[in-house]
Amino acid sequence: MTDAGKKKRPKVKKIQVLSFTVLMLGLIIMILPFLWMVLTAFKTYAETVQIPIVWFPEKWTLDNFEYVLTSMNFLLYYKNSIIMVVGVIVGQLFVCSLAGYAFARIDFKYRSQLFLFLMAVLMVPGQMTIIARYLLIYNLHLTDTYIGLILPLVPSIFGTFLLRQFFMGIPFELEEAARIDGCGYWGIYTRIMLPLAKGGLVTLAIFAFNSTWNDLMWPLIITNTEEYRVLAVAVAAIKGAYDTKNNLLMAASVMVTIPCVLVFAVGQKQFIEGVASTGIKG
Amino acid sequence: MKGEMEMVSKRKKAFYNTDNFWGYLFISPLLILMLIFSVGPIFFAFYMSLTDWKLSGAGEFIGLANFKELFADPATWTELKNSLIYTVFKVPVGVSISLVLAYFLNQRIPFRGMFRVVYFLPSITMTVAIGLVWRYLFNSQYGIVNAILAFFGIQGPYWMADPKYFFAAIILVAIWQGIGYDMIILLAGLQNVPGMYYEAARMEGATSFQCFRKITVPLITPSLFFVIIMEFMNSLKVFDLIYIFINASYGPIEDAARTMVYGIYQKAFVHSRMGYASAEAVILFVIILAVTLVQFWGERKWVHYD
Repeated sequence: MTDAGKKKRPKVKKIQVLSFTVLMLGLIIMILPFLWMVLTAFKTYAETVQIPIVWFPEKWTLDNFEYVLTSMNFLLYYKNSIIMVVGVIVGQLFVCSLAGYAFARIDFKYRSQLFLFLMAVLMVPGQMTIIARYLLIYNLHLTDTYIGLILPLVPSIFGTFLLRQFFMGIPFELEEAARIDGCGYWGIYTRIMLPLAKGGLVTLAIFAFNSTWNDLMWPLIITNTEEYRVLAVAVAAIKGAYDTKNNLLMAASVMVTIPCVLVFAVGQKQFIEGVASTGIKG
Repeated sequence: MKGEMEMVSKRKKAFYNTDNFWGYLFISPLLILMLIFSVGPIFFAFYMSLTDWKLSGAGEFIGLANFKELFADPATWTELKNSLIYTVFKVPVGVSISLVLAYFLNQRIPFRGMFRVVYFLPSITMTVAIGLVWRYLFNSQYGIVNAILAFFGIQGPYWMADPKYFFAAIILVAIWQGIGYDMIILLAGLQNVPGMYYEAARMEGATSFQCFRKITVPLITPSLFFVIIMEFMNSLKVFDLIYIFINASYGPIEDAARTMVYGIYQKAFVHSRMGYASAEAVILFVIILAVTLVQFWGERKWVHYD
C-alpha cells in the first residue's frame, strides 16, 4: 500500500523547476516598479533624492496624497474621469448589445455584408480618423464638454463582436418559446437576451472601463480647460515645479492605478478570459 | 397549400413587424454613430491630406504638396525610422518572451493564478502612470535601475538624458508592459493543445525543448499569428508612452523618440496643420495596411489551422 502511494506522487520534473524559477524571477521584475511606486508615494521629498537610495520611508506619510488630491486638484479630475468612463460604458452596453443581438439573431437584409463592412472599419487605425473627428467636434462646439469626450467612443465594433459571440451561444429554444408566448424582438432582447448574456456585458464593461480610463490621446486633444480635464491628461501634464518631485508624481500614479486594480480584482476572471478568447476566435 | 398560406401571412405582416425593420432598428445606433465618427472621418482624412486645412475654415486643394513637403522634411524620416525601430525590436522580443513565459506557465507548477494576475497587471495600468514610474526608475541619480546595475559593478548610463539610451529605455518599458497580455492569449492557445501529443512524444523519448519546438510552436501558430498581427498594428501606432517619456522636451531627446503618431499629433494639435498631419496619417495607414497584407499573405506558409 505504501508502495502504491509512493508511485502515485508525481515526480518533480526539471522543466517544472526551470519554469517556476524563471517565472519567479520575472515576477520580481514585473512587481518591482509597482512596489517602488507605492513606497515612494509614502516618502518625503528629501527621502526621494537621498543617495544611496532608501527603500522604505522612515515615517509613512499621507501628505503626498492629500497634496495631490487638493492642491493639484485631482478630486476634480477623478470626477471627470468617472463621468467619462460611466458614460462610455453605458453607451457601449446599449449600442453594442442592440447591434450584437441583431447581428447574432435577426435575419435582416445585407446582414453579412454589413458585418464584413464593420470588420473592414475595425482594421483602420483610430489615429487616421482622429483629426477629422476632432474637427467635427470642434465645429459642433463640443470641445470641453462631456458629450464630446464620450460620444465618439461609444460605437465600439470590438464590443459588438464580443456581445454577438455571447448572444450566439444562447439556445434558440428560449427565443422560440418566448415568441410563441407573444414576445416581439424588443421583448426577447430585454427579457431573454440581456439577462442571459450578463457575462458578456460584464466583460465588455470591464474592457470599456480599462480602455477609457487609460486613454490619453482623445481627452488630451478634446479638452483644453481644467474643468473637463481627466486623470490621464492631468498626470501627463504634471510639469514645471512638480516634475522633479517624485514623491508627488508617484502618489498621483498610485491614485490613477488604484481604480484599475480594483476593477481588475473584481472582474479578473472575465477580463482574462475575454482577452484569452480574442486569440482563439481571431 | 402550406406555402401559399405562408406567403399570405408574410404579405400581411406589417412593415414594423419584419426582420428587416427590427434588424435595422437595432443596428441603427451603432451604424449612425459609426458613420459620423469613424467612416466619415476615414474618407475625410484622405481628402484633407490633399488640402492645406487649418483649424478653422475649409482648406484649399493643393494636390500632393503635403506629401512633397513631408518627404522633404527630415523630421518625417526620423519619425518613420523610429516607428520601424520600435516595431522591429518590440514585436519579436516581446512575443518571444511572452511565448516562453506562456509555455512555462502551462506546466504543472504552484501559484499559476498569481503569476497570471501579476504578469497581466502592467497591461491594465494607465500607460501615463507607467511612464512616470519608469522615468523615475531610469533616473541616473535616484533611480533603482542604475542602483541595481551598480550593485553588479556596472556603471549605468544617463538613460533619460542620452539620446542613445533614451529610446532603448522606452522600448524596454513597452516590452515590459506588453508581455502579460500576449502571454494570456498564447497560454489560451497552449491549453487547447491536446495533452496526448506530448505523451506520445515523451514515449518516443523527446526532450522538453524538442516538445516545445516540434509540438507547441506549430500547434499554436494561429494564436501566435493573431498576437503578431496585433502587436505590429499597435507598435506602429504607439503614442502614449512616447508622449509621456518625451514630456515636452525638444532637440535630440525628442528626435530620438518621436514616432509617426507623435508627429501626427504634433502637426495637427500643436501646429494646427490638419491637412499636413492628415498626409502623415495616410502614410501611416498605408504602412499598416501593407504590413498586415504581407502577413496575411505569409500566413499560409507558417500558420497551421489543424
